[in-house]
Amino acid sequence: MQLNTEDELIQQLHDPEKQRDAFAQVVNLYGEKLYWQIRKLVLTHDDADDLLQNTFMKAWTNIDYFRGDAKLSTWLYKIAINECITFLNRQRSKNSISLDDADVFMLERLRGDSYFDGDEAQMKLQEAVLRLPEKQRLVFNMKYYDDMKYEEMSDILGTSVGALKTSYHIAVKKVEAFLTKDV
Amino acid sequence: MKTEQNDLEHLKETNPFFVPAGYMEGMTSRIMGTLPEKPRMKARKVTTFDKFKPWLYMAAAFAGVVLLFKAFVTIFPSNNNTAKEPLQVNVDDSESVSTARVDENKEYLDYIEGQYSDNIISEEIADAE
Repeated sequence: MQLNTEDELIQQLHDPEKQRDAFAQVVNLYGEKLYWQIRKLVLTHDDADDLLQNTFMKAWTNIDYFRGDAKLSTWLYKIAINECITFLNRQRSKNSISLDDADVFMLERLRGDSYFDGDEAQMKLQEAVLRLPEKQRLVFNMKYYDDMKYEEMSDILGTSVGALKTSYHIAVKKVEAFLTKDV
Repeated sequence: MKTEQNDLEHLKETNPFFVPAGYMEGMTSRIMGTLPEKPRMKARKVTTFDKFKPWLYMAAAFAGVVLLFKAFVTIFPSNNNTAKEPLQVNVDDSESVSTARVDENKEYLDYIEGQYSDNIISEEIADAE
């Protein structure tokens, strides 16, 4: 498969003859990154796999409306994060779980996931991250795991760079405080 | 107290999440396999009728407005018996006007006659003297 620059790729995505092949390149380019971003938010592999497919399905359905004003990766991240937030909210309301108990519910699901083999320290890190408010959790995951630039995060989340830096700083403090709490 | 075990940077080095064997390698073909084919839109030839369609619609709309107006006028005709000046009152006073004129003329003739008769009498007296 021939690799193209983003501009060429976007051009091909709007050409009905080349659209499908170009989209396969998009999946190839961003699939793994998106998977890990989704996985860190929903924690279990099965949910992440479903959400990744939903993300690409939505992107494929709406590809004709993507005009290239933003980067392709930013657009895909936006779709993925919206899918994750919708999924988590639906999961909470389906199981009648309050916002305060959401972290306990998610940790239980993580313990039952056969594709997680973290030790107690890793489990504690996940618990600390799950205790963060939604926005701080998103920012923490993007920066800590993906080392994403604040400018790109700003495009995806629609928040100023300054606010994101503050958010990350507070999130790190909270996580560190939780990790050292009982030691 | 911060230990090496719970240090954020240290925890970052290991990824406790993993995926089934071959999951990443087969991701593209698996996802592409789930995507539906997009319906291909065939380019339609623009006919002369298509070009004139907007004008035709506009003419039809105009004709519709005219017909509506015509129908409105037919259903609610304007009342011709109504006086053009709403404050105007039709009064038949021809008789009273002519009577007044006759009276006026009679008075005038009496006055003229009186004047002349005075003059004639005074002339006759002067002649007699």
